[in-house]
Amino acid sequence: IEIEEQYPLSPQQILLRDSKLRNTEYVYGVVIFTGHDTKVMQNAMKAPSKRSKIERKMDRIIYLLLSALVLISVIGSVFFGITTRDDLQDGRPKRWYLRPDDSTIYFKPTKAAISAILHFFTAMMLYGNFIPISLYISIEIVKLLQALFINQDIHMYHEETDTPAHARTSNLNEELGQVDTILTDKTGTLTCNSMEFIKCSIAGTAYGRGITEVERAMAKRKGSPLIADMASNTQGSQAAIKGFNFTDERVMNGNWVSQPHSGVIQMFLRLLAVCHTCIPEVDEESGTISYEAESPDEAAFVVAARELGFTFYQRTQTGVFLHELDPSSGKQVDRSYKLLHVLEFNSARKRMSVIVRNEEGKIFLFSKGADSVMFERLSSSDCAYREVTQDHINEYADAGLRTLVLAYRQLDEAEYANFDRKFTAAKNSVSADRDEMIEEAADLLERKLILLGATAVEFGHALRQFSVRSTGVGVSARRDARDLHLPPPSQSHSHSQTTST
Amino acid sequence: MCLEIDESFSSGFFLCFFFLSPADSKFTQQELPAWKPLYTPGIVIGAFSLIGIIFIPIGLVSIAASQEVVELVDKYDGECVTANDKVGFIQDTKTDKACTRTITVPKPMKGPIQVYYQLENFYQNHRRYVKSRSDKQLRSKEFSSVIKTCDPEAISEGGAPIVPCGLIAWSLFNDTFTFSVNKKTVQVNKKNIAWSSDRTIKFGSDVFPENFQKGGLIGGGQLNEKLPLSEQEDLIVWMRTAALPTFRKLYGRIETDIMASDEITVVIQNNYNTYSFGGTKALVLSTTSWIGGKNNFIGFAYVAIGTISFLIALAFVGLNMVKPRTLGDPSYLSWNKENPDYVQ
Repeated sequence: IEIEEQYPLSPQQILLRDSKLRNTEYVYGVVIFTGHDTKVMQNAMKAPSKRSKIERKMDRIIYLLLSALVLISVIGSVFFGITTRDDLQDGRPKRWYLRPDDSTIYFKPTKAAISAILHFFTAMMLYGNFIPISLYISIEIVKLLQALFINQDIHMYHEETDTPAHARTSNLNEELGQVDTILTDKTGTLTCNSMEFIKCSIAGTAYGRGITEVERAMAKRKGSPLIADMASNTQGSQAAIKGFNFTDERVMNGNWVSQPHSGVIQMFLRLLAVCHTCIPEVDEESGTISYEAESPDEAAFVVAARELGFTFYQRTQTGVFLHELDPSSGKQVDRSYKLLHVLEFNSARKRMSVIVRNEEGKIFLFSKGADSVMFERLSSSDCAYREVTQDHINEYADAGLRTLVLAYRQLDEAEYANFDRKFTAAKNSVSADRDEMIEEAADLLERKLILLGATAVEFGHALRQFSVRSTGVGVSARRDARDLHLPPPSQSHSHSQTTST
Repeated sequence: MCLEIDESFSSGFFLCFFFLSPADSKFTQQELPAWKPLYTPGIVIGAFSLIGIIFIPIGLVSIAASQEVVELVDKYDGECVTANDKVGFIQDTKTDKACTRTITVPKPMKGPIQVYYQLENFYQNHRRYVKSRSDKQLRSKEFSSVIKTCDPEAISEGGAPIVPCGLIAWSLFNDTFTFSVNKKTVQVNKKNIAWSSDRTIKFGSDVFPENFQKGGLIGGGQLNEKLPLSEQEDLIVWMRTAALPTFRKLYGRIETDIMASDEITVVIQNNYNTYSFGGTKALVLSTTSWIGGKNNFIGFAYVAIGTISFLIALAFVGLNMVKPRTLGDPSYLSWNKENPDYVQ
């Protein structure tokens, strides 16, 4: 009996609007959920017209004057009608000098009502100067000149980028300076969406001699000169690499081979190079590799692995390819790993895992995640450096760094086959409890892990770009998107390990 | 060069400039020096006192000049008509409309003495009335047929254009006054009673009256058809329309002086009809001073403003003595502080 092969559909296969499809030769397309009922279409509104306070006040004044004009015209017309009717009494004119007996419709005593109505329009036109319609033009000219002054302001000129202030419209010039509080989600906003690999703990040994911003601030407050000198010495010794601020001669330039736990270090770096969803981009001219990542810390991990000898250079649908530093021969060796499954990160699981098969046929589970969920999944056998690693993690958190725990496990064929059958069945199901089934299948495997170590990542130095002192604006940064009751962004991992800034 | 399109371009005013580096001059950085007056109590009290010192003498001098003017007003419209039917009396061409009035002069009147006629409840500012004229026709003979705006007094019964046309000329005031002082006739000079610009510019010397007051209805006075309009000064004075329903217009001047206790006898030809619409007529004799006619308003206004300023100055002196107030210090302003409160 021939059985049709089935493929699971998950959010990973959905191409949202403005998505770009790369490294794919062909796809089967299914259009789902479009039209005017979608949230993006309902949110597409016409931009409201911006009117400043001066313009709104001016509108009120104009309406008041227009009402006064109409009132004056009405009263005048009523009195005009009364006196026009009185001009002719029993055929004898009273105000004879107006010749009411020989009159047009505008001044006819026998049709005084019509004369009054026509006089209303005459009065409206005659008193029209009451309305200062040129006031709008004058205000517009004043705002135009104000915009010119804004563009010329030397205090709003950025010399590094040669960028002057740019008043695009003159509508809201006088609304400047209204901002008094900035409320922001911390993720990416105040930290320039960039992270730097600065420290790590491997096999119970802490590596990385960098000084974080928080530590530098505390040292300055205490007046300790030693740490400041250390920072100035180390920072000038090497060229800056984006996302990599790690300095430790014990493991750099291949020196980790001679460390006591070189096997653990090798597995640690291999995990960093394999357990991710980055896509490498090779510059054809210079040959350098940059990484497209869902979140900036993933990119920082892959960059760190590259700088320490494990270069991830290619990804296909079924495998990842590395240049690895071989400890026995001391040379770069090409290694490939067949990617069997990816267990994605989400805010409930707080961890991410990949299942790979190396060239020798062994199956490994690589996992990284928050310490709160990873430590409870470690193997119950005694681990010499478990408590030391926990201490390192606490120190990193105090220094304002974001930490992840790294662990792995080797699987045998029977165990993997059982998991593969359950996981594939769960993914292919379309019932309501699909997510629970997937998580249950993944949970079977993510246990009895062997601890490798922890990583520490620092946020970028974007806070310095805010001149809060000179503007008087208060900044209130919340810890995570959940505190704002917003759904996490669907295209990026929102790591829930939070630290105070 | 600016190539960007603004998102709210439809609702905003598009600005496109050469975005160069900002020039650092005092004008572009809005740092030009400016005079910033400081309102200290001394300055304020001094200013109000100065206003009082200047205004009160001006007001008193104005009031004195106005008091010098001798003005005699004689309302004659009621008593100069003896019949019960006043309108019929006026409109009847056969009745004798002469009326004799006697005025005793209380104070000496130095010449020249202005003679005015005063009308009340006569609306020369009515839109129909004030538009009913043709300035082109009054100015030049070649425009004698420009009568479009003169309805209903544009053409005579024969169809020929009326010169001067319009309701204003048609309703020319036509009462006359003859003066005697102590039984001796006094001449009234009727020259130069109109504005010189009217006589030389607005009324042409080659325009002569034609078909004037030839219709069935006669509204006002007749014109001498042998004199050009520029010399008919009664007409010129009347055609400068008044803005309010109560007005005076110059009739002539008496060049001689009139002593106190003299008796002025006026023979009035009561021709003009103000009885239909309930108006009044009056004869006004008035001397003049440097301030003009008798007008107390300017003087009283100046005295009032000066007095109010003095009272305000006194009030501020009292306030400053009872509750003095220290001058403000700009260094307390938030942006001038070295350690602002809002930075934590």
